[in-house]
Amino acid sequence: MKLARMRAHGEEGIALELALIFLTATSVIVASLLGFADTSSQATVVFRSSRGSDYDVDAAMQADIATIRVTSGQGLVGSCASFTPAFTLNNPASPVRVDCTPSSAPAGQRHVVLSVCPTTIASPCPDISAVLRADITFYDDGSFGRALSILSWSNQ
Amino acid sequence: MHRRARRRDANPSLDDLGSTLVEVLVALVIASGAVFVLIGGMSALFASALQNRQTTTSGVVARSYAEALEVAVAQSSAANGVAWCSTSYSVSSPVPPNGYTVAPGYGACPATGAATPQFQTVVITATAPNLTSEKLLIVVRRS
Repeated sequence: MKLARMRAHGEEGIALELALIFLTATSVIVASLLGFADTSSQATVVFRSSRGSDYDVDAAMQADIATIRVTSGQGLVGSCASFTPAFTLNNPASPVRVDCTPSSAPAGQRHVVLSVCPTTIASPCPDISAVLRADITFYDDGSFGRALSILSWSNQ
Repeated sequence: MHRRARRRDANPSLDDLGSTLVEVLVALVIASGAVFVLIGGMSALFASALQNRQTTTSGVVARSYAEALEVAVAQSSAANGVAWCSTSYSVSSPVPPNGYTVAPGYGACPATGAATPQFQTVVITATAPNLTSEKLLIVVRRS
């Protein structure tokens, strides 16, 4: 049909048609390029957020370990409070909490399982929601909180 | 009969007429605009790629330093016992790529009281050649 029209009108207007086709093709290419750039930027932002959360989880765990270590009465069966970091997190949009599950231990020791959980999950943190879990024994012989041993450290 | 058709009938060679000057100029303007837009889009893509690459590299630099710092603190803690905390550790981290810098910002050391949790916050800042920076907060503690 186009060919017929071209035949009817010779080559009049063909330059304009070609220019418009070129313009359309260019628009599609530019839209694709900008799409790539946008996706790349979004991936960078998501990566930064995810990395921040990973370090937040680790930081919360380390801080809670240090806290339980020196807090008398914590880490014993029936007595182990949850810990919420007071410092500013890398990713404040995803706050975390550390839940403590103590278990019986020999005299002079405390044995706990710490689970880092998003604060949106109710305490105690269910296994499926724990982002990081550590099995820790505190040694109180000689002096309180003399040493500690990390028996396991498992990420989700 | 249509005027153009009459003109073709009078002179058949007019059927082979190409574009008029106005058409060519309009087409040229449109095509030029398209080329400029294309170049602009590619420039934006390249700039974005460069930015993202430098941001990612800064993140790697910060993470490398964080891992090295944790080792340094563990060694300091083992060597110095209770007086483990410092505002400057001897960190053996990999040398950042050319143009990148990394600097730690140490939080205050906790009091040495027996009931004070012994941990310290550290904010590691890695700066890229384009001066964008990545910050990473970590916690180190007495081992």
